Amino acid sequence: MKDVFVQGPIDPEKIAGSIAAHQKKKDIGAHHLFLGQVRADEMQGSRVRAIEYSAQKEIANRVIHEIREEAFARFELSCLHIYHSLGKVEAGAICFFVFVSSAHRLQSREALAFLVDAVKARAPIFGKEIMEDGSHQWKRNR
Amino acid sequence: MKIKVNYFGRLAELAGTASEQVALPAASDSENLLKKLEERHPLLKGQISALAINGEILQKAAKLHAGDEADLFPPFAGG
Repeated sequence: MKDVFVQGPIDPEKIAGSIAAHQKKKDIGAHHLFLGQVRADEMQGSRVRAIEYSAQKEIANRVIHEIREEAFARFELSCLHIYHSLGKVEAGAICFFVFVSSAHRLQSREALAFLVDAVKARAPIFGKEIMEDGSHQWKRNR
Repeated sequence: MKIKVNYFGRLAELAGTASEQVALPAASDSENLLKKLEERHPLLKGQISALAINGEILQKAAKLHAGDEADLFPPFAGG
């Protein structure tokens, strides 16, 4: 089973490289990408400086594998890739990367929305928001 | 019987530990475990959103066995 976790932020070069690597696959007509970026939210007079991600990796990898299988069953996809950060990611950096490719745009567009929502809802991943003043709180998804 | 309990995210702060051994009477189930943990760590009350036993997230109460490993989760917050 694939390990979706990347230590620290996801390098934009990795994202560019991933796009370039798909140029060989000429049955693909559409890519949809989601890039989750750490937001410097302001709360109680301080801003989020970074998020430190943790997870129950074994369960998270298995759940995400199941979500991948569901996406391949529901949509006509050429390929899909999911990466999520672990450890500290500074505000402004990328923490979540979902890349879906298909022959036509509707399939990859719908699959991307499904994948992003399913990973957020079903994978045991947690985020500790570290504030500029040194305090912290725990991230909650909306 | 003894169960190993792992706390994730905010729950580790509330419990004051990331991991501990918990003794339960034989034939206990996951509901008995949750009740015991909330008694031991009152701050956990109402904060546990999911429980996994031996790597499987439970959808309903399940029987426990000596040596089982429980993972306790707050709301998931990936992305």
